[in-house]
Amino acid sequence: MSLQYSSTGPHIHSQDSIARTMWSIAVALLPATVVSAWLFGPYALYLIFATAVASALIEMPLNGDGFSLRFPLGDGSAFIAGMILGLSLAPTSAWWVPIVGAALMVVVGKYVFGGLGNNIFNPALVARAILLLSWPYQITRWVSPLDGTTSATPLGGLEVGYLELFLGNVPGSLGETSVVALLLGAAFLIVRGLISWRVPLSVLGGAAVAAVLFGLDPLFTLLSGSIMFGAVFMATDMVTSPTGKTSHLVYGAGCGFLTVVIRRYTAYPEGITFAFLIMNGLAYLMDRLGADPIFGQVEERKRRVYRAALLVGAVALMALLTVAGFAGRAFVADRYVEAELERSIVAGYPTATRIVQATAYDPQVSIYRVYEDRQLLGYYARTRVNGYGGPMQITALLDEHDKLTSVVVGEHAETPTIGTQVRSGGFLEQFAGFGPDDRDGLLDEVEFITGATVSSRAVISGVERILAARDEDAAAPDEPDAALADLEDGVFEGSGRGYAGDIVVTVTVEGGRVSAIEIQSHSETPGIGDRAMDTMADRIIDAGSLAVDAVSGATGSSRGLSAAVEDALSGN
Amino acid sequence: MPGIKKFPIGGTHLPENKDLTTDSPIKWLNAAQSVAIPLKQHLGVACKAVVSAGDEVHVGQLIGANSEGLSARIHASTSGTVTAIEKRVMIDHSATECVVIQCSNAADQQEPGIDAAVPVKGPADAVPEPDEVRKRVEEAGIVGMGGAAFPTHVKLQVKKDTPIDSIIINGAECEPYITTDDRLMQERTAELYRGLDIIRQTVGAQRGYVACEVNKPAAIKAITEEAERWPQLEAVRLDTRYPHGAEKHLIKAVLNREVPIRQLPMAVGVIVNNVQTAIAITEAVDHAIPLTRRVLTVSGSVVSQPGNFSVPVGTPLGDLVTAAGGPTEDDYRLVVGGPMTGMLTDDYGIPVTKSTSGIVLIRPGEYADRSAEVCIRCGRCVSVCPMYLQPNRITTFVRNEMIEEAEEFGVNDCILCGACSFVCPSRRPLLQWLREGKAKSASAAEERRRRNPV
Repeated sequence: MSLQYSSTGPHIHSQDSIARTMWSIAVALLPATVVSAWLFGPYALYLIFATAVASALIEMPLNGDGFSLRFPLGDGSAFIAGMILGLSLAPTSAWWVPIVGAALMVVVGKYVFGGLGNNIFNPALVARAILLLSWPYQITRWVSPLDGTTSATPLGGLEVGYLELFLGNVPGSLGETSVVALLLGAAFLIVRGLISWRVPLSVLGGAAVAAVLFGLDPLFTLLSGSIMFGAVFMATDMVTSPTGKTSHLVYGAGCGFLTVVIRRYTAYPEGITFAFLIMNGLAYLMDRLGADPIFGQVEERKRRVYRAALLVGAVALMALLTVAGFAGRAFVADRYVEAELERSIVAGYPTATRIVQATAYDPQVSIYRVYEDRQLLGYYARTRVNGYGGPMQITALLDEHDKLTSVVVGEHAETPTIGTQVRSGGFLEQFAGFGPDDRDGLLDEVEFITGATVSSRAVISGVERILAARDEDAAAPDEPDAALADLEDGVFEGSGRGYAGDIVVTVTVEGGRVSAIEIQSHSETPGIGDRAMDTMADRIIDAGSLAVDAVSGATGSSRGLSAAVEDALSGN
Repeated sequence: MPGIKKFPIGGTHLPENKDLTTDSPIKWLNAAQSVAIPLKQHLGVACKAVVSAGDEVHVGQLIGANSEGLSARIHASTSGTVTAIEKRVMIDHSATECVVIQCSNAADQQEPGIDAAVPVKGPADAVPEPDEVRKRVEEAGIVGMGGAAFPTHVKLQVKKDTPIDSIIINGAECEPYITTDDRLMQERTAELYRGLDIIRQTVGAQRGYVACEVNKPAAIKAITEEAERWPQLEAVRLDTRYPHGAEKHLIKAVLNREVPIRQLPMAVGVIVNNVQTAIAITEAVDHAIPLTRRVLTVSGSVVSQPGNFSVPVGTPLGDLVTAAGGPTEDDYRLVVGGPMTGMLTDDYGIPVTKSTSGIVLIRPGEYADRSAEVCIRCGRCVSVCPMYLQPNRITTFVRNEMIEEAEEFGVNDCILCGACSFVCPSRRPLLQWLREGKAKSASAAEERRRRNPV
């Protein structure tokens, strides 16, 4: 019955094929490839094509056709996916990264699901995610195309102009730095009808909206990092993106929005990997639930428009409420903390007139110096520890000689009647008189509450932590003279030891005050250390003092920056 | 270019290949030896033969009719002797009762075409009363000649609650190779407009349109010039895009009206007729000529003398291939209808019906080789689908016997245009599977009715 099977039309065909589709995408990738070779040198070509060729080779034994000498690159799908993965690598990636990445991509990203057409997640992004989690250093060490020095990317805090971002003269992954090359590729794909303009445009739209909502520069957001590369070559991946017109828009907007959320609120400066993978998982659902109204479903289309308007309204309202909620909560929390601080300090130091927050090198501890005019009365310190039932807050007051005068247990969730005894005066009084020097004796000398060993131990560890923090703090300038006032004007250079090496800064003093701090060189962790240093510099300038809080999670870098600034001003 | 109309979303461009026959005047072709005239060439119930074997018949004589149910009369397309009334295989693989007529001598075959001496009626000439028009159309056995073969006298019956304001003549002819309507628009323009005006007045519509794709400049020129004579009729230029000839898309393009799903054009006050149907109406109403012939294109890259022919209904396909000089190569495939929606066959005895628009001989290299590969979800089928369906998803449901899901995603709204199959880079036989889906959906509905009779 073969005749009957084939007897229906169409009897002509566009003569298009999977291979032709894939090689057209390869052509679209050429501008980005050429630009990356020009910017980063011939090693870039190795990285891109090694990934592509390795992918094609690894696929051969898996795709069921076996090795074919006639057309060794198969239908090209593995090759172009390899090119895309290669273009998303850092220019300094080790020689083995392309091969490992290709293997991860083809095996885990593609064939685990059954090969071409069956994978739910974009194989290149799966490989990138695994690489990013397994060898973060290999994937995120960027070099500047100009001088070859290791540097932060624009997203990691490097300051660059829009034009550089557009042309690609900035550090970053091989293929993602030049926006103009990517736009060329996109234009080719759209004209050839291989991708829908809706996807890249809505990715950029979603990202821009998110940027505005979260107070980022939208243009910078679109031009920096791999969002443009992702919008053109990754969000449009045929197998893992939806096919409907409405779902194209929703999917793209989701990709863009989530990317910015991840950039802004997580430890990863670059969000597309995880954002796109999440959206990949939703692609099928979008086509199923968001199927476009059929031609002739006139009423349905009207209902759709109405529903879409409702949805947009609801989302806007929710966003508004969320923002309002956050702002309100922050306001209330600040008020609460301030009030509580004042209450306990007034209780402990009735004559106090001035409180200065001190730099605490342990980010878990907050320390305040309490003065009566210029006379140091003592220290007020706070930390949280994990008790038997959950976190509890430990507050300690120390006198001017760093001796404990009182310890208070604040919010807690300890077992009533037993655990709560740690709050009793009898237990807490035992701490009086201890200081940073003899904190090791606490465990031996403080008597535990019977039956509440865990709670008791928690309080002791909290106090120990506070004392330890005071101990380190004692090494730092203690006087309010850490305030940077009445300085000689000029530009000064200094260095300090950071987390991973020396940090060199230049400090500009104008009108007796520090007006600018510029980081000249450093070896801190991209995305974490460099961000922290920027924050620290701002804090020092704003406070006019070196006695500012270190940045949580990057104490080493923060401290190094403070030391460098201090060094710069040491002759002053 | 301003004034070129099109439907808004979907569709695709095809290799047109119309230049092979666009300049070939319609040739009059007589039946070589015998014709087999099917007693069912229309949507509805089959006619009963009113002649029997051994009878002498003359061209235009009534040979089949059925007063019960929807049907259209059948007339002898040639003079001669009825040799048998027997079942023959049709292009859709059905076995249909046919009246087989052995032709008498060539002179007797000549149907009295429109006498050149009698001028075609113009805008000033009266049109008979609607009932009279419908009666003449019914007597002439006219059906929609674009493919669906719906009996025309029924189509001209206007329901009171759905008044008709516009008539569109479908001259889009978006199938590659086929130039039937193209030639008719050039050669029989006056009759076409007269036919349109008869339809318009019969159903009480205000406006009439002749719509043609811009890839047929000669036809466009002819219909635009002729339109100047007719105050209530106009010519419309359409962008070249497949499937502009699909009824609902034609209406969207010409009048920007969207026919609600599962409804007929009547719902938006429109009737669409084929070019040749309109001409047949003129012949029937003004000249009392029954529908016994049709014009069709014989073309293809391996035909030695491709052309347009006026042939008697019932002519075997083999005669047409011979008339066009036969194939130039041995390896080709014979398609009845256009290459997009037509059917493939190797049976040269299959007779031409009132709705056969042409036959095309396709070379293997051109042919859509169906070595289907895996779906890469590129979505091109979705983007070209003029009905805004998801062919990829529907066919997956159909192949997994998930008919309810296929219905939910609109398998029954598919117009079977084949644009999805044409563009699929994996060369998946989507149209084949969609046909399967519609058939399975119909039998599932039948099953439901059987179990729960109302």
